[in-house]
Amino acid sequence: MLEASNISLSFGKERLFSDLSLTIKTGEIISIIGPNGSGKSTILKALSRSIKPQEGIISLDGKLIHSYGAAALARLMAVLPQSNNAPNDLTVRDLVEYGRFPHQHWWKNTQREDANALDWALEQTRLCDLSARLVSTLSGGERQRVWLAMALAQKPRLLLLDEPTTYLDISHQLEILELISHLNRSEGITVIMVLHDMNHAAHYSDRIAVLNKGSLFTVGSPEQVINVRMLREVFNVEADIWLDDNSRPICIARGLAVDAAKSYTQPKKGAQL
Amino acid sequence: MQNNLRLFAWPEHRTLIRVLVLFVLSVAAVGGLLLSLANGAVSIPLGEVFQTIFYSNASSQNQIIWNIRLPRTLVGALVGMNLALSGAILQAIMKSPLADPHIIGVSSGAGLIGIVILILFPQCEYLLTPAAFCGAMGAALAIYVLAWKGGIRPVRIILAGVAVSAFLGAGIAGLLVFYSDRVHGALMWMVGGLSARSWPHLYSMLPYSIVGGLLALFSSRKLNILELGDEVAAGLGLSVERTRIILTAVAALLAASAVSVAGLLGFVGLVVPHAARLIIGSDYRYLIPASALLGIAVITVSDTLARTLFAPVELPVGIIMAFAGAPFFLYLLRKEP
Repeated sequence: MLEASNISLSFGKERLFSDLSLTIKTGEIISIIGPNGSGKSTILKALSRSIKPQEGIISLDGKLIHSYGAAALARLMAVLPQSNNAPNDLTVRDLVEYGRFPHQHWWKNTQREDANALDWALEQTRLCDLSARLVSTLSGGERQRVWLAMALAQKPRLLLLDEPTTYLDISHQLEILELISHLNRSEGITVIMVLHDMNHAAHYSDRIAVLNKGSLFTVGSPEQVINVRMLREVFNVEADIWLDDNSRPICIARGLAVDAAKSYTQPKKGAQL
Repeated sequence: MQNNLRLFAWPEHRTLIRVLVLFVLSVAAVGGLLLSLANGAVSIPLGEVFQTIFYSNASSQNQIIWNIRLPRTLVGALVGMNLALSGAILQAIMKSPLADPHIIGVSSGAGLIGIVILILFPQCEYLLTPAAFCGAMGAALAIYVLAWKGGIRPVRIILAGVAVSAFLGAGIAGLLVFYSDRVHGALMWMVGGLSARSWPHLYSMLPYSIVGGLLALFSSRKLNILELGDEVAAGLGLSVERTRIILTAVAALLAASAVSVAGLLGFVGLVVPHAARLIIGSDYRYLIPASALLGIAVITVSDTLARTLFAPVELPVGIIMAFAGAPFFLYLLRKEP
C-alpha cells in the first residue's frame, strides 16, 4: 500500500500542491486526471520519490518511502516517465534487460533469474518476435511496449505511468491500456497512471483521483467521480454523460462552461490592447 | 531511420562484431606502441626493439629504448587512454555531445597554473606536473561548487565550465601578452606535447590511470543506465546524483593526470570517444575499452609522426592529432546514418 499523507510541495514561490492525501490500495488501477498544470505529473513524481515533498510523508507498506534504498525501491516500484529516449543502436532485448539493473549485483550471479524475468516481460508485451530489432526502428506503439517491458522486467508490485498513451494513435492507446489492465488482473500489479483521456480513465480504472490546482478535488470510482459538476468546476466544460454497458461513464464535452466561455466572447470593459 | 553501419545492420551478430572490433583496436594500440618504439631520430628494427626490451644489453639502442622511447611511448599511451576515458565518461554524465575534459575546467586550470610556472617561475619547472594537476583539480572543483544548487545539473556544470574557463583563459591570455618574450615554452605547453617525457612522468600518472581505468570499466553498466535519462535511471534504482558526482570526479582525475604531464591536449578527449562510439556503438561495456584502446593508438601513432615527419624538428603531438584527426572524425560523422 502506497500512502501520501498531507504532502505539500512548492517550487520557489509557486505552490505545486498543498496538504494532499491519497491512499493507493494494493491491486487496484488508479488514474490521476486533471487539467493542465493541476499537478498530475508532479504528484506521480512525488509518489515515485523523484521529488521530495517539503511537508507530509509518503509511505510504502508502512515504511517511509525515503528510507528505502534506491535499488530496493526499484525492485518494488517501476516508473515510466512521459517521454523516453534511448541510444539508437539499442535492441529491444538490450533495453528490456536494463530493467534487471536493480536486481543485479557484482557479487551475485543473477543470470538465470534475469533471463526468466526478461522472457516473461517480452512475452507479456508480445515482443518476443521483435526482441532483436533496434528500438529506434519500431513504431511508436511498439516502442511504448518496449519501455513497458523494461518496467516489467523490474518485477515490480507497483507500476507508475505518466501518460502512457500520449503520442499514440487510438488503437495503440487501447492496446497499451488493455495490456496494463491485463497485467493488473493476471499479475496483481498495482497501477497508478496519469491519463489525459477521461473516458479511458473511466473505462480502465478502479478509482479515479481528480486533481485541481494542486489539491485533490475528489477521489472515487469512475461513476462517482465523473459527473457534470466535476467537469464544469475542474475542467471548465459542459458535458453530456452516459453509462456504457459496464455502467462506466462516458462523457462528451459540448462546449466550454459558461464562465469560461464568457471570458472569450465578452472582453472585460476597459480592457485595452 | 535506416542504419548503414555494419554493426547496426545485424543486431543479432553484434556481440561477435564488437569483440572483433575490440580485437582490431587492441592490435592497433599495440601496433601504435611498437611503431613509436621503432621510429624516431634513429630507426630501430622491430626485432631489435624486442631484443632490447626482453634481453637487456649495453648497446646505444638499449639506451635509446629504455631512457627515451619506452617511457615517452608509455606516457603517451596513458595520456591518450586517460583523456579518452575521461571524455567517454563525461559524454554520458553530462548528456552533451560536446562534453570533454575542457568543460569541467581541467584544461583551463592546468593551463593557467602551467603557464604561471613556465613564465613567472621558470626555475621551478620541476613542479610543473604536480602544480598543473592541482590547477586542474582546483578548477574542476570550483566549477563543481559553482554549479551546485541542491544537486548537480549537467547544463549548470557546462555553463559554469564555460564561465570558469573563460575567466582562467583571460588570465592565460594576459600572461602571454605581458611576457611575450617568454612565450615559447608556454606555447608548447598549450598545444600539448610529449617531448622529453620520461619515467617520473609515467610514475606520476600510473596510479590515477589504473584506478581511473578500473573505475571506468566497473561503471560501464551505470553509464549505460544514465544514457536512458535521469528519470528512467532513477526509476531503475540508480542514485543518479551520487553516480554523477563520483564519475565526474573520476573523469577529472583521469584528465588532470594526463593534462598535467602532456599539456593541453584537448582533442583526444572529445573526438576519440565519439569515434569509438561510431565504430562500436553506445554500449559502455564495449565503449570504455574501445575508447581507451583507440586513445592509445591515436596518440602513439600521432606522436611517432610528430617526431619523424619533419625531423629533426619535432612537432607537438597536439598539432598532428588535430590535423589528421579532425578530417577523419568528419568522415566518420558523414558516414553515420
